[in-house]
Order: sequence, then structure tokens, then C-alpha cells
Amino acid sequence: MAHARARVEGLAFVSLVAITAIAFVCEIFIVFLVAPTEARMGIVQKIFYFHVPSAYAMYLGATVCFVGSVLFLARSSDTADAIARAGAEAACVFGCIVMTTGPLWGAKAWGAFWTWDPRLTTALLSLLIYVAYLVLRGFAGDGEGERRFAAALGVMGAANLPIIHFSVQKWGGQHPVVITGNGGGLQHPAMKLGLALGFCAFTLLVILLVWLRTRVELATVRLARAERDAIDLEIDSKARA
Amino acid sequence: MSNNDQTTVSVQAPPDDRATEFRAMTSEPEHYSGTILLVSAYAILWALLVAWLGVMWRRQTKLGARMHDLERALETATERAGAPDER
Repeated sequence: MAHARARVEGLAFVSLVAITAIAFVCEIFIVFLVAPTEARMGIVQKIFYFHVPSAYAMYLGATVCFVGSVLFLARSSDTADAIARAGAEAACVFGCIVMTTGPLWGAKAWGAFWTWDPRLTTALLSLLIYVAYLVLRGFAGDGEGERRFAAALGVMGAANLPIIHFSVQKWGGQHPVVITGNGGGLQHPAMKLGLALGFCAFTLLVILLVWLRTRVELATVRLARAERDAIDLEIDSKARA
Repeated sequence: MSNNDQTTVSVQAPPDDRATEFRAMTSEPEHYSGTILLVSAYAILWALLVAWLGVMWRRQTKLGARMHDLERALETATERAGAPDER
């Protein structure tokens, strides 16, 4: 039973890797060879096709962290904690991508790498929350108290997401608002296709990486438990022959 | 062509319009190449993702080593338990 399940899981994982790779190849093809160069900004606008999906991937990672954290707070389980940690790492990595690709675009569009624009500031705050989460998990140990505190941080990190999203509408700033509820500002079908493919590719990538990271985390927890059991049985796995 | 234009400008410009000093720019000029910025952004994207995969790979390698140690310790303990009492 377990063997069959592992086989199905392995097959699903390989399929997901293949689909993600195909999505990225299509995305690169559309963005660099089909989508036209933007009239005002030129070629640097193509950063948009990776920057926006990265921000979306950060939101997804943060949402996964939120769900895992809430589940952990409701019913303390290793799986929920592993999911929350994987989500936080995804949010952190994609947040770093957003915070580096955005300023590179801004250097050309605004003439400055960074401004204290509401969206930039709130996005940076969100990234710092997830960095804090990972630092806490990395250095404070894996005790129940630490895990609960981290879960609370995971919930708090998600509370910042709507603030990032609506900061442009509420407080203005320089950040462009190209994607809107009523159709958006992309003026060419290939531009829309490039962005849509970007969203698909990054969604698949987040699912893949969070899955992979959760598996590693669960294996770590299981091994740590087996090591503790071994110590209880007076078997010292740390002793060198 | 451009030399002729410069000559024309320098001939036509009245003496009052000639530059008499050089001032530093007060704002950052737009001198960034769009292509370099795009390539940098793209490279950073993949570098960060590969770095994360590298970290995961390292974690799995460490897990493998710990698992190996545990297996050896269990083997040793099993052998010791199965061996007759030497006393």
C-alpha cells in the first residue's frame, strides 16, 4: 500500500516537473520572441513578465505558510508545521526575486533603484517578516513553543498581503497598476499571453518547490524522532566507530 | 555630418550662449542599459531559485548522512544484542 502510494507520488512529481519545465520554455519563448517590446520603456519592460508572477508566487507561498500555521495552531502536527515552513521559505525566495527584479526595472523606468513607495515598502516589510520566520526556525530550535511562535508569525505575515495589494489604491505612489479588475493595461494579445503563461509557470514552480521542501522537512522530523528513540534505547547514532 | 553640425552650431551660437563653466548633474542620469538590466533580473531570478535548490540538496545530503549513522548504530546494537554474553 505504502509502496504503491510512493510510486503514484513519484509519478505525480515527475509529471509536475515536466509540466513546469514545458510551461517555462513556452513562457520564455513568448516573452522574448513573440511579445512586442514596450513603446516607452523598451526591452526592460520584459522584466514585468517575471516580476509580477514572482510577486504572485510570493503571495502563494505566504498563503501556504498561513494555512500551515493556522492548522498547526489548531492541531499541533508535524505536517502542518512542515507545510508552514516550506511556504515561508517559498515566500522568502520569491520575495527576494521580487525585491531584486523590481528595482532593476525601476532603475530604467524611474531613474532610481529604490523609492519608499507604499507598495515597495509594504512588500519589503512582508519579506522581512518571512526572513524573521526563517531566522527563528533556523536558530531557535524545534521546540513546541518555538513552533507555535513561528506559526503566529506566519499568520501575521499573511495579514500584510492585502495591505501590499491595496497599498497602491489607498496611498498612491509610483508603482504601476497595469493589472486591474477591468481588463488590465496590456495592450497586445502576446503581452497578455506572456503574463498568463508566467502566472501558470510560477504557480507550478511554487507547488513543486513547496512540495519538495515539505518532503525534506517531514523526513528531517521523522529522522530526528528516530534518533531520539535510538537514544532512549541507548543506541548512539552520533558515536563514531 | 556631425562635425559639420557642430561647426555650424559653434559658428552660429552667439558669444553669450557659449559654455563658460561645467556643472555636476544634480539628479541621477538615466544611463542604465535596458538589456543589461533585463539580463541581470533574469540571471538573479534563476540564481536565487538554483541557490534554494542547492540548499535543499545540501539538507538532503545531511539527512542521508544522519540516516546512515543511525543505520550503522542500529546494526551495531543488533549485533551486540544477538552476540552471546562474553562474561
